[in-house]
Amino acid sequence: MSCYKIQKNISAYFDGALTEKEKAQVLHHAKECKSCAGLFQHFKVLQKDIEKSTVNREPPAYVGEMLFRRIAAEKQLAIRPQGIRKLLARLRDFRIQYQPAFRVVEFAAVFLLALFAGIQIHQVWTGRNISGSANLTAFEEPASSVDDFFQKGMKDYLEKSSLILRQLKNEDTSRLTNASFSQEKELARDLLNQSKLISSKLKQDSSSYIGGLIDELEPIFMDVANFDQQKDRRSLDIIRQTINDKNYLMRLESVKATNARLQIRY
Amino acid sequence: MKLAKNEGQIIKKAIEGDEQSFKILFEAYQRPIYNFIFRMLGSQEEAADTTQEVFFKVYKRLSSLRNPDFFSTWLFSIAKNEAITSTRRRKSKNHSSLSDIDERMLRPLREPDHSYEPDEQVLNKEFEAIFQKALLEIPEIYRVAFVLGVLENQPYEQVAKVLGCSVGNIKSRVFRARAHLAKKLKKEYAMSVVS
Repeated sequence: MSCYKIQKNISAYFDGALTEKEKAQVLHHAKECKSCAGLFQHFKVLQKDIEKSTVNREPPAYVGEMLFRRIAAEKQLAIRPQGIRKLLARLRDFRIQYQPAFRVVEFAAVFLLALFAGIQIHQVWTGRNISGSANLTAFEEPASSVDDFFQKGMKDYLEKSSLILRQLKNEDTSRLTNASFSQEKELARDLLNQSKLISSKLKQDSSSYIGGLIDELEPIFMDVANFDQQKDRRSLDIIRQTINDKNYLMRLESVKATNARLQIRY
Repeated sequence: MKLAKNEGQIIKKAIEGDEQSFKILFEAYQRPIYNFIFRMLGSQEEAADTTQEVFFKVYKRLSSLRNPDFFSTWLFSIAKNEAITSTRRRKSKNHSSLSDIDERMLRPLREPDHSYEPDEQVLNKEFEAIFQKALLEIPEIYRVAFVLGVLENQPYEQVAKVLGCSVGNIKSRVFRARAHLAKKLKKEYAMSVVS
């Protein structure tokens, strides 16, 4: 038998892990081999140290106390909770069981929420629809109180314009005097002021049609405001003719009918 | 560690969920498990915590044990794994290095308090500290076989089952552990004599 095998058995000899035959082999080899005999003596001394050291420590009492407290807590958890607690417990179990997948879902949910919040913030910031379209119907929602005031003024302008144009169309010029025409003149002055204000506030890109109509009506209202019975009797006829030709009443009605909010400049 | 003759029955009952039987098993095995873990870690606090963890795992997994005859092997396998995990955790956290443990254990050696203890007890404590320090310096793979087979006095066959290797391999590991230990102890003795 080789020295290495004997040396392994020398170690096992002191542990009582050898058969009688193996023990005899070890002792016989140790008598013949100086190196193995030296190791035998070495391990014999060590064995005394090992035996001296084999203490049997008592574990601290708290080991058992803590263990059974922990087991009791575990049992409490194992009792099936009811209602919302049951749902939460299931969710927790599911989360523990499928932790990697759950992380992906959590990440996706957070990402989607952040994306949604970003879109909302962008919309509020720019005051625009996400598609970026700038047509009249896109501004159905009020943007501010200034805007509301403007939209109200615009409606008023359209109403008054329709009224004065209708009156001018039906006016009997033969019986017309400065006094009887004063109401129209007053109204035309108001409309002139309003049209200046509206034109300055209207954004050109979204309201070119209405803007154009206001621009066209402005000279008519100017003529009416400066009407002089002696001088301008004929000009009134021309105005009535223009109202008919240009179909202003119909055009004003169509603008009123769209009921659109106009985009304004702040 | 020795249980009554009806050990098999107690283990069976514990597997079926009988808490009283589990308590009997705990009482019977806590000491060898604690000593084994203490030898592996060299710290009483860590040994106590790890022992608790071992028995908690045993309690949770007991229903999965099919053959009650393998209880002891199974228990020591869990203890071995937990001890190794604790050692690695300690290494990774680096919160308590080997030298710290040595310091704690060698305290009676460096600051001996002779007022209450007879000389023999003091000497035993000193020797114990030197021995444990030398033991902790043995590579883990040899130390676990040595602690189970030599210090815990378990048959090589059982140690082989716990560690999942052959009896020949255990013999070899124990031999190497002995050789390491002899070398370390010689060095430690020399140092303590000088100091």
